Amino acid sequence: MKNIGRIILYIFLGSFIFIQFFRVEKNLGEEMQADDFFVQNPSMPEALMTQMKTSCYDCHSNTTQYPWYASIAPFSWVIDQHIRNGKDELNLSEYGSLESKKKISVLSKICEVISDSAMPPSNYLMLHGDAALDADDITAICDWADGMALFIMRNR
Amino acid sequence: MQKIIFFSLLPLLAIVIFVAAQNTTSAPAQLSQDIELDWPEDVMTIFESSCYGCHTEGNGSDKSRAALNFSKWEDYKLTKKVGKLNDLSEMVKEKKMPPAKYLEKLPEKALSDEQIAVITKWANDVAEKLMGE
Repeated sequence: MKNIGRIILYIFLGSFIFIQFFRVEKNLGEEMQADDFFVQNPSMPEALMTQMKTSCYDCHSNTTQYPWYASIAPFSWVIDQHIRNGKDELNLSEYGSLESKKKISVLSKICEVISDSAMPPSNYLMLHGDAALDADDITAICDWADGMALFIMRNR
Repeated sequence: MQKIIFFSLLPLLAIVIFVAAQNTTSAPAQLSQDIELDWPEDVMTIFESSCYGCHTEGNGSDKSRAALNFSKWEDYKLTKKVGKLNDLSEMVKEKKMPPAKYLEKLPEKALSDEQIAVITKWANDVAEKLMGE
């Protein structure tokens, strides 16, 4: 009986070591390039910028701030998938390359998903408490985003 | 004799009630009745047949209605309307909507190239107009 326990442990350890050989490429592009959301919107209040960067940039930009466990499989795979999905939906590093209408759509949707508590996702918040947005943050981001969207409409 | 007639009619009555009940529940809900949008008829017809099934109040899922809810269109902010028109046009053009899974079950909901052209042109025109406001 003791042997079986030991065999299971070895199998577990062996598989754990084995899966470490399946590495994923990290999302570590250059920060704040010309098309970046914040570079494009320099007038954004600093506090909002910091909050959005903390809450959104890990999955919605070309530069992720990785936690220590991000290099360990299977966590690395899950994180990689989250980032892929996030960037697929919206990549704030490429905001500047979008046409006006799409920018308005993005700004409107940012407000929409944070208001519905769809973003940041609850599983992300479990490990990133500082990413949580309170009601004031949400109002501030929505007001700013709506103002910016109107500005784009009138100045294109 | 009367009893026999009564009992033979009973199942008939039950069937009539059953069918009537079925009809009231399965008759397609009047999807457009609450939605008074001043949009061209050809556009509305396409929306009604291919989109309203998930994107109106009481239909679809929370997710589909959060993405777009025609019943609440008039409550949307100007910027949200422009955003939604842009998304709608994009989704339809890229054939992401109606979703492939949905079309597997209801292939008749698929949009023809002509219908896609009608929707995207209309959406772009309306968005342009709204952006000028």
